[in-house]
Amino acid sequence: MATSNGSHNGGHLYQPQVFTKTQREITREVLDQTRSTGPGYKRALAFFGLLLVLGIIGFIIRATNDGFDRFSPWGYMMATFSFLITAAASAPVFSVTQRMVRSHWRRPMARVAEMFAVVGVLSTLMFIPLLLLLPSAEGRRSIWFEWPGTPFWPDILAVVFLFVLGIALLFVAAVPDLAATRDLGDGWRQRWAARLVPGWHGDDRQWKVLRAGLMVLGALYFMMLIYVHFLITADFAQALVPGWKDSILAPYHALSGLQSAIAVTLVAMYLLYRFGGFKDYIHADQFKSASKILLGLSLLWFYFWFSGFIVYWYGRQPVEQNVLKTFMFEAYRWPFVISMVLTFFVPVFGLMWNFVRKSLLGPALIGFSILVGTMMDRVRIYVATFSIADKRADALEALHPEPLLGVPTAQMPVTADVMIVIGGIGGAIFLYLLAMKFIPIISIWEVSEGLLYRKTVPFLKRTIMLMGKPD
Amino acid sequence: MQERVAMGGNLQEVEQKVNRDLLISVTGSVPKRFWVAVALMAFLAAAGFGAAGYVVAQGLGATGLNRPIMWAFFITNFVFWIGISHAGVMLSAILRLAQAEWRRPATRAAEIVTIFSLVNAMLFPIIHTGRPWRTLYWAFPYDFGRGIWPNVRSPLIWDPSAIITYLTSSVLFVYVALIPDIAVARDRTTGIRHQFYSVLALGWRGYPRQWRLQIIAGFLLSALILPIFVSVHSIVSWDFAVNQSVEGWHSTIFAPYFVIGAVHSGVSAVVTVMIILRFLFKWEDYIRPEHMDALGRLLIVVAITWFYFFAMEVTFGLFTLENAELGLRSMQFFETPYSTLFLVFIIAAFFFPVPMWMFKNVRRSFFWMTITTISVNIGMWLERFLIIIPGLARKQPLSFSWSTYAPSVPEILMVVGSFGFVGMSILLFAKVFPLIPIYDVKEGEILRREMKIGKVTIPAVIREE
Amino acid sequence: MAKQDNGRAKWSMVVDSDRCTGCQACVVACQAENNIPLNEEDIFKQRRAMSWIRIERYWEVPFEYTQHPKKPEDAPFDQVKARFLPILCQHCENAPCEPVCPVFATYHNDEGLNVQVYNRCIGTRFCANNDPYNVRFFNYWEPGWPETLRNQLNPDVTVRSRGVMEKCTFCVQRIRRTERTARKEGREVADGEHAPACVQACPTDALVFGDINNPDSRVSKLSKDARSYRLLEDQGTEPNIHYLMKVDPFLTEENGHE
Repeated sequence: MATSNGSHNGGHLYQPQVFTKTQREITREVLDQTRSTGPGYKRALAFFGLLLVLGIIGFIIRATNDGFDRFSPWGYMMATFSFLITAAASAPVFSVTQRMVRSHWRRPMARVAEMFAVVGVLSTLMFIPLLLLLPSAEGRRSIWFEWPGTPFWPDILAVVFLFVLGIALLFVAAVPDLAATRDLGDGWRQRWAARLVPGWHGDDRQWKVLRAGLMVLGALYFMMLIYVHFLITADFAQALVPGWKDSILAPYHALSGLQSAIAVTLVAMYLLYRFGGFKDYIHADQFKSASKILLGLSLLWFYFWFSGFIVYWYGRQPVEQNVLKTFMFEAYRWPFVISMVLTFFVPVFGLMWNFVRKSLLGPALIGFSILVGTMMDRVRIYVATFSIADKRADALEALHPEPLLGVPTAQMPVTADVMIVIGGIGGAIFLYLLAMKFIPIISIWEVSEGLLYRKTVPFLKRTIMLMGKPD
Repeated sequence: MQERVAMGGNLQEVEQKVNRDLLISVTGSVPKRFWVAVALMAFLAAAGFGAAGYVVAQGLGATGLNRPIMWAFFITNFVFWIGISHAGVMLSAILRLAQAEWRRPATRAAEIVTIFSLVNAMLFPIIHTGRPWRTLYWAFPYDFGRGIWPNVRSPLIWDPSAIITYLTSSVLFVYVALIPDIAVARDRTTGIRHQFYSVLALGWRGYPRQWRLQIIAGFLLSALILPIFVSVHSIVSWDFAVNQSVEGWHSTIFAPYFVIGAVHSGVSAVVTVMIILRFLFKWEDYIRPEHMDALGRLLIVVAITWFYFFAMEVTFGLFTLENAELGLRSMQFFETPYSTLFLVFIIAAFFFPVPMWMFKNVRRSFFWMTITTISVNIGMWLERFLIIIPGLARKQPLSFSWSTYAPSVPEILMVVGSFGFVGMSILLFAKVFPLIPIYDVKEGEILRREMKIGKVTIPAVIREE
Repeated sequence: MAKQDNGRAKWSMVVDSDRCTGCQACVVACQAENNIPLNEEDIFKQRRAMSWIRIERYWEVPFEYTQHPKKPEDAPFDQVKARFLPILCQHCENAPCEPVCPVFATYHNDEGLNVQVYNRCIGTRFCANNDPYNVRFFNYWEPGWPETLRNQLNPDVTVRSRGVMEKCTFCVQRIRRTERTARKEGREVADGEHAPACVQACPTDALVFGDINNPDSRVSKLSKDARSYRLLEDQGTEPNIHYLMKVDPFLTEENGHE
């Protein structure tokens, strides 16, 4: 397996520079990078800003032409929203879980993942018009069992709360770095940081509170995210398709969220390594370890999909057959095939090789493929659902509507839909790029802390690495 | 900070102590309480086998089964033991791949629990069939003379295939890890026992090449066994989930829900077994509070995930507000005796142990870990019961045939006996082979270091990147 | 997934619930014809009674008593009606019980019959679980008959041993007998020439049996009746038994029916 070619690609040629640096150097360098805005950065910011504007125009076209009475015009917007929740909002979870298991390799990656919380601005805003589409939960089948006011308040509360928690997590994890900006930075950044974290001095108690806070916030964020996935799949997918009763859909959605979380972090890290000036900080360790998890999650993705599929396929009830035909085999066959290839076959058959996992470009490309595949998956779920919901708008109001009896035809995107999709994704990147200049994208304190746990010691005839494993 | 029990002295002394302590069952004399435990377990097992013989002789009329409750205690117990068997791979393969240090004393106990509970679980579907003497038709295509093959469309064919594969690979897995330890036993025994270990040790001399092969084989088996491990309980779940006619079974989440439930009960069972072994063989130096701590934390994660799947299953079952599903769930939750069982199940499997594990003192107390893990397994047994029986009792929608179920004495005896059988097998295995991997513990001792950061000392481990 | 017409008969039945009086003659006839063990009192109490065809009795109350504040039990007795539904194996074209058998003890033959091979059956009872109509029966005990009834057993029908599933066969022994006779006489089997025991015994002619592939048969005409429906059609099992709805002379729009 490990050919000579393969091992060359790995960590042997490339020595992570970060381990030879001192804490001071790290702080200085990362703060400098945060401050610098090269022409490349500005061009990128302008480009993605333009895409965001395009998306807003697309939204306005849709809103003026179609209004919010029917579902089907908004299928692609829903898919984009769900993709943002799946990829961007899930990313902080990757850092949270790795912090919980105290892995050392996560250190340079933690902030890269957490920074995706800022995309919540966009997804929360996108969610509000989508909520207008939903009929009240009274007198129809839904997970709310006819509670008053549902599904509106639980849904909006959950999405807003998720956003707030994400920002809180990002902020708390960044407190020591902001304090460094306050003490060592200059200009508006220094003043901004000084206002945000006036009291951080890094004494024992503060660190204890910080660590406990990160744990609690992280756990809350994780649970909230799973809950949001559950709400979205229930209110915006299953409840809208009569007869669709698929208990794995929410866990499947959440799992593909975790998978895309790693994918999006890998892509972001590669870009930061390549263009962001962090060649010394990001190294093969992150890619190697994250790829292993990604490989496992990709296998799990297939497993979750299959365990839903086999039950429906074996059951052979007419409703189930129609659901399968609609979402997988007839109407939305191509989005399904593409997502299956890109989120399962490409990652599994790519990441099973050691040399791919150890390389930097390989996992990043596979991450990109997963993101495209996940987007396709969301298209097949939500565009299909919304087109069905539309045709059966009156049936939705009934407690026991006729089950799905036919297979709808696929709904192709029109120009406005394309604008909304690229606007949503471009806007997310725009926000991320912007946030990078406010908060250091590499977690200074976590990287510096990592230096302490690492020591080379002599062992027999060799020198080996000793890793501290704190409890 | 955790306290670490230093094993004292230099490496040589540590190795000698490890050999002496862990081979106590093989070379030394075991405490008397060991034989008391074996006798007790053997008695229970004998009762179980007696009951099984009675059922086979009399026919399934001797059970409490009826129409439409065609599956009950036997299948519940089958699913339960298959669940327990998931502990082995979960702990040893995943933790080995993840290079978790604390796995070392737990791995073999987990694998042995896997093997014997699998063997035990396989007995139940056979006894449960109407004509156990004809089960050759079932899994083996021996009737090919007439061109009749087993029906590969049936989940009951996937079942034995997956279970036998899992059993085979688990045995291989255990054996590969046992070889160095068998060699140690071989070098310290005489006579017939020496010959026995010599044959099993396959000429192990501890050459670097042998070690390399052993380690590679261990890693490969770990990776290969994982899909099998997932497949086994998924297929068991499909025995139920593919039934379109039983309300409450036909749920797409069943496969992962069963697997995570299996891990929940399996890891708990391993903790129980480890504590019992620690008591029986006086292995206080090897199974330490920090291992319980790590297992407890793992259990919290597993239990919460399991609860999430449970909640999804119930919510998405109910959300269509179909009368059939509402009827089934109201029976499961609110009608005696199922409501009582349900309450016991949900408290024992989740609401009692998980908040307990949140406390470090509980996780580090052997007493409380025994109580909580046994509680989990009581709950998880009831979980399977509550999935299987109410679904069949309210087979929708022809209400004319609804029924109830009460187990008969032979069925209860067989369930009790299955615990005796597995317990007895594990204990006897522990008499012949070291149940804590000797070489793994030694390796852990060699790799274990400490590191000073400022004023504190933290445990550290050697890593070759 | 309906089978193509392969030139062979497709045996089918029509059950007219309007004619059924719930007299249970079919149940007794089936018991006698098919060597079904006696359902003695203790067997019945064990809930292991076997009857390949059974009459399910339901009480129908006015619609308003099924709505929430009122209870079905409170309906005045003169408005409660007994409804009878004879249920036997539906011989589904797309039978859920078939694919789950690990040993191929049950399969679909090309005459539309869902057949059970007793010799092959090992008694996993999976088929019974996946059977939505509850028409499969398991021999929990070795069947036995009193000495005086030994000679009553039908020689054309296997006596099942304990540990196997059994179910309605559409009296396949009768089908084969007629086919043999017809072949000997060099002619086709005529419609209504033979019938299962239950059909033969039905005093009100509520059960009709025949070849649904033959457009002139009574079965195929009745199955196209406006009252025709099939049990649990939403399960997609495509049963070979057609039921004809009850015609209720007292039916009005107020009590909830169209």
